[in-house]
Amino acid sequence: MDIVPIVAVGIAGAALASLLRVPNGALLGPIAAVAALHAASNLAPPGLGPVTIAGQLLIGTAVGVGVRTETLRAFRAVIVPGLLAVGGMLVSGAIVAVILLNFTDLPRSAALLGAMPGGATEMAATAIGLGADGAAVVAVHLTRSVVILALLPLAMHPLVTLITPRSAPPSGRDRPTEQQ
Amino acid sequence: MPCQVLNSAESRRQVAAIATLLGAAGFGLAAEVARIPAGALLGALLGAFVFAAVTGSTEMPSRIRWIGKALIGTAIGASLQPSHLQLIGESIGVVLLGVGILISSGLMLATTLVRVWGWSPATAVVACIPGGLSEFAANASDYGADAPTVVAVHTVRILVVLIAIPPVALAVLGSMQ
Repeated sequence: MDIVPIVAVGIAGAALASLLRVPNGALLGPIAAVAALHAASNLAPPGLGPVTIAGQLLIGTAVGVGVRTETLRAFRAVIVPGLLAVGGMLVSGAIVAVILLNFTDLPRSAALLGAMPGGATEMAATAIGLGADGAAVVAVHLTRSVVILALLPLAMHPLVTLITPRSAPPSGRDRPTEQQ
Repeated sequence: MPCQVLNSAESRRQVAAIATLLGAAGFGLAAEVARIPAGALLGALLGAFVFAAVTGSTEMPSRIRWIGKALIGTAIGASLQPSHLQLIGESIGVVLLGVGILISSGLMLATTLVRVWGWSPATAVVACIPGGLSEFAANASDYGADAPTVVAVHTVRILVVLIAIPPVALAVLGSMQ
């Protein structure tokens, strides 16, 4: 099978999923469409090296441009609690990675990269860049994303109430204090 | 005249965006050739940051990210096997336990930020639960959270993971073989 029709099917899948407003459709649409093509044609897919490189370049560019100086300035204003939040998420990701490594048959790369709090697309691109099993990594991340994004709107109010000190209002748009 | 000014500003933005894209691609390809782990991704990230700062390009068409996702999805779809679905099905209980741990630890962190640093509870919760950056950036205000703080925390989280994980993953996976 040639590389061009596969990419065309992938782009069409992304367009359709985006049109149907499937969450993260630009990533999920081509996975479903190309996997279906692969299964239906029963032909071995070609090496997609240039496609994976191009995908990594574009995702890296999008992330890099998103790192604006004002974003870093906003982080600097809350540097200690911000680092605690980031470090805490990394540690809990590492704990989950150890659990996945020891209690599932997932490929080791998928257990490690799937547990890291880096975003489905970014970790998929990283997995591909490292020659790891990107499909398994995406599957783990999608499970997490679906659970969190489905639960968060329902759970947000109870969670906020749960962690609100009794003397403070349950929510607000006030910025965090900048005391370190 | 105002139209010309607008067109000129728009043209400058487009030129800056194209220069940033090409610069990022150059960095990414150089890192890939240098065999840096996940070099295309990390090189492009660094290049885009540098070129965006130099050219003043702060906006990249959302289509860039969309196409990147579509290409990564295409590559993953081509490698997807029925065994992947079976494997996830068999592991789903442990994976859900892992999600529960991530959410619980996020809540503990959020509680600390509220109690010790006086963050608003909504900001703390949305900043400490690892979801997709774009989803949280879009929805932070809907939850009553402070969007700039949430975006800053999640941006740094993703940066740290992307920069630190490739060498760590290679070291860990290499040591386990």
